[in-house]
Amino acid sequence: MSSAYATLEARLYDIMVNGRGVNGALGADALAKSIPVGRFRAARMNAPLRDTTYPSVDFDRAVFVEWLADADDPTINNPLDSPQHREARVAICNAVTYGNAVTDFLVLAGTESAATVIDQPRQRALNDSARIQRALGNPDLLRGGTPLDPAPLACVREGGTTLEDLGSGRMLATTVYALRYQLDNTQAYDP
Amino acid sequence: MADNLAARLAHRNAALTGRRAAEGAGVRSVSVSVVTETWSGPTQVSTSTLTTTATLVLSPRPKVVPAGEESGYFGGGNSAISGGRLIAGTYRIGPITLATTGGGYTVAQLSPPGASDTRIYYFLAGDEFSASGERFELTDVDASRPHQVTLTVRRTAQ
Repeated sequence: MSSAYATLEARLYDIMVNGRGVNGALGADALAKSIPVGRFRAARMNAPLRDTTYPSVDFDRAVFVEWLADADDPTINNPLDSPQHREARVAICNAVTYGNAVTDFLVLAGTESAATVIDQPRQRALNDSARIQRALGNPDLLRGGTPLDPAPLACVREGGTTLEDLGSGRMLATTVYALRYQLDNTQAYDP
Repeated sequence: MADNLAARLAHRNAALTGRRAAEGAGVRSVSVSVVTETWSGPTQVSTSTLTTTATLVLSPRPKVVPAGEESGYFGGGNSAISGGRLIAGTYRIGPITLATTGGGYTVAQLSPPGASDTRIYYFLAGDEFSASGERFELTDVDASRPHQVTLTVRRTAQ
C-alpha cells in the first residue's frame, strides 16, 4: 500500500505523459481522447514549473501535478462506511516556451512549425490545456482497466484555465480540477 | 587601421602560459567539464533514452569563484547541505583563454547550443563541491574581452 496521492498522481501522469489508452485497450472513446507518448513530459525531478531555476531544456510541454486541497465528498459520507468518498483539488500546470531565440527548445507535435508556434504561446498553452482536459475527463482513461485503490472516479475542471507569463520566454497554463476518488475504509494508505 | 589578429593570438598564448603555470603551481583546485548529453528524443519524455555523452574537460583548469546564490528547487551541495536549505549557488568560471594557436577554447566549445533533445551542463568537482561533483547550468557568457571568456553557472538538477 502506498499513499493515496501517489496512486492518484501516477494515474494522472499515465494519462498525460505515458500514453495510457493509446493502444485501444480501454475502448474507442479512450483511444480517441488518449494522449500519445511524447506530446507532454513530466516536470523534471517533480520540480515546480514556476521555479526560476527550472532548466529551459525541459520546460516546453512539461506538465506538473500540483495538489491544492482535499475534502470529503459533499454528498453523505458516513465515516463508518466503506468506501469513503473524497474530493481533491488539483491544479494541472502545462508549460510552453516562446521567443524566436529558443526554437530549438520546442517539443513540436503533428504539423506544428517552430517558426509559427514560437510566437503563439497563448494559443498553444490553451490548446494543450484543452487536450489534457479532454483526456483527464474521459472516464475510461481515468478509471478503466485494472481497478486502483484508491479509485479515481471523475476529474472535472473547475472554473477556467488561466495563463501566466513567467517571463524569459516561459508561459504557464493552470487548470484546477475536482478529482473525486474513493478510499477503502479498512486501509490506512500509509506511505 | 585594421584589426590585428596576430597580436591578439600572441597575447592569448601568453595568457595561456600564465594560466598553465597557475595550474602547475596547484592553485586551481576545481576541475571544470562541459558535458553534452544527446537524447533519442526530447528530454524527460518517457521513451527518450540517452544516446551519447560528450565531455570536454577544460585545460588548464580555470579559476572558479562564488558569485552569489539564490533559492531554488535544485539547490543543495556543500553550500547548503549541512543547513538543509535549498540554495542554488552561482559561480564564475574563468578567465578561460580564447582559442589561439597554442590551445584555448572557442565560445562555441564552451557554450554548445542546447536543444529539446540536448542537455548541456557544467560539471564542477573539487573541495568547494560535493564529493562526487555537482552539475551546473550556464546563465551567462562574457566574451567581450579579446583574450578571455568568463562563464557564469548556477546549480541545476543533479
